[in-house]
Amino acid sequence: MAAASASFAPTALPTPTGRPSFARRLFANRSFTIGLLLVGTVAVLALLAGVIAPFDPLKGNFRARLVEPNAMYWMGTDHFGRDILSRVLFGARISLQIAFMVALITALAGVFIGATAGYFRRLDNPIMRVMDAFMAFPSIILAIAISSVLGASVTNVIIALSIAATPHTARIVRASVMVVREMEYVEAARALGAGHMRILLRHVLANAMAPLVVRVTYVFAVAILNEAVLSYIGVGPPPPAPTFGAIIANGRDFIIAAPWITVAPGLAILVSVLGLNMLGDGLRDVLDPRMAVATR
Amino acid sequence: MTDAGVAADGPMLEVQQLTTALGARGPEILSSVDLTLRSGEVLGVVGESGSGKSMLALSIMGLLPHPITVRSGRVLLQGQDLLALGSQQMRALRGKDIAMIFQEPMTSLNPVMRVGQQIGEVLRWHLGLQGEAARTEGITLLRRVEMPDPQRQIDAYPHELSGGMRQRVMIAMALAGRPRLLIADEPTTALDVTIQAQILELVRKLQRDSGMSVLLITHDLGVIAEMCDRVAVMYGGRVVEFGSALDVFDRPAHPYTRGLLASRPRIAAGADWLSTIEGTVPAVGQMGAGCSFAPRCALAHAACTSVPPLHTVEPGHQAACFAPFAAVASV
Repeated sequence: MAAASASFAPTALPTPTGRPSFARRLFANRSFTIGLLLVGTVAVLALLAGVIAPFDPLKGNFRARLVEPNAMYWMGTDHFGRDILSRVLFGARISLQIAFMVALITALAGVFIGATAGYFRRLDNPIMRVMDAFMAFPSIILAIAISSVLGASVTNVIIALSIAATPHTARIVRASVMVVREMEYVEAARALGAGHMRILLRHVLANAMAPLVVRVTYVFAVAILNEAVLSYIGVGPPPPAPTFGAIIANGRDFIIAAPWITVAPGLAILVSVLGLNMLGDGLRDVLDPRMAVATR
Repeated sequence: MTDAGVAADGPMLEVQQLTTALGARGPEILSSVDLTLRSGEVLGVVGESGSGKSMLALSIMGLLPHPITVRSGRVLLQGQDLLALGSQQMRALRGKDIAMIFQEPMTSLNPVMRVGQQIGEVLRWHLGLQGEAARTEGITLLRRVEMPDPQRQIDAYPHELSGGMRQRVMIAMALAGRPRLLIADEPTTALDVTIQAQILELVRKLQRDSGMSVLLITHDLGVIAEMCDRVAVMYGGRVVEFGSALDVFDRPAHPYTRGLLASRPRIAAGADWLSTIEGTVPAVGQMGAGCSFAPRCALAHAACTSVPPLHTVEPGHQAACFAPFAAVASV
């Protein structure tokens, strides 16, 4: 080996690379941008429901029952003469609220359970076998069962959907924690005296977030769908609360005579879920560049 | 900083009869390893892949991966038995008294934290430094490891740095707790040759300045020759030869060491053939009863079916062979 000398000291300074910032890359992704636009529109309309809804969503008008969409009732009325547009706007508020809470609770519970199972080897088996037991049921069946046992209310729907979505989320977090746990920088941090909590939070979880972020957008979308299913079969928030599923359930008996009752909330679900899925796809592409080529 | 004058009395690190194994009943991975690292000394541990070099480092750090456990032996850091310490005490010691740098600078830094934050963590744990004080100390450390433009690079993310610079950051992190002992596990293997030279020179310089002891693990005999005061040659989970670098290189006693030295490519010799040692290191659990090198050894005879102890073959030079220095017709 040649004699080393101090004159080898590095001279060239690498400039921070020209990689565009995370936000810039996100907005360069078409799928993410369109998804955000769709979800954003639904969310803003839902937030402003109290201001922009032309009618009271709960108050019927018996002189205007089953009215076709027209200049006054943009999306028509139902058999109680309630304005569908107003009901959909307020319904979006409840549905999105439920879905948001489900996504949030699922993320927190999934991270807690998945990180514990993935990081501490001894806890892995007991925890994941319980999760497997939950996953043995199709999540919608599980949600229906829990919701019917707990009784119909917004809180119970949130609880039921969260329990149904958590096991899979925990499994995803666990897998990604198990990969990151074996990284050299985790061992290096340990070799320099880091404790378990520190390693788990700063070094492992911080690097294991990408799959979770994508999963959460999916949970959000599925929660909207599943909430509609629960409401539709009557174990969702009790009537007359407008939710997407409840409005569709109301329109079921009039599907031939007054299809607008079902079409309007159906479209709202379509737009929200499509938007969330596109958002999730875009996030996945940006967070995991290996998969970006095909979809860009 | 370690005071070399005070520490020079006893050995910095003594590994005594250390045996690690795969589980309680599984095969041995390290077998009765004995090592002494004096204060302010650089000790090289050399061996092929699978000879147990990294396992030795991890046992000293108390970081053996899951099913592997220490079966017997002692690891003394200035007389304190590390294996007897609880996990909390051991954690407090890691990074403060013993620090370690790893082979892969590209993956040894957390990609989502800035360099300064990562150095700052170690400073906070071990010196209680925070905020501006930690930042100033971080810049000082980066300057000590000859990082160009430390004021700016302290805010860099690892992906913005080259391999050599990342290794400098790793070294800065290792130095942050002002350790008495630095374990370097193949610190230059993943780097370009010119960067290797820089990093080795840096480690040597830092070692001289601070008087800390260094345990340098490598498979590169050139690195050993350049860096180390003494060498331990490992084979099949055992130390087969131990002595000053000069002795071991000039008068290798163990046939394995001779084989290693002979299989270095040499430009001057102009040989067409690269000398090799036939066979490979036996896998864990596949070791025979006797000398683990016997199956590959041209000198193996009846006595080699029992394990040769590491014994002194000349002053300050030990080997685990029944026929040290024996001449070989052809290796």
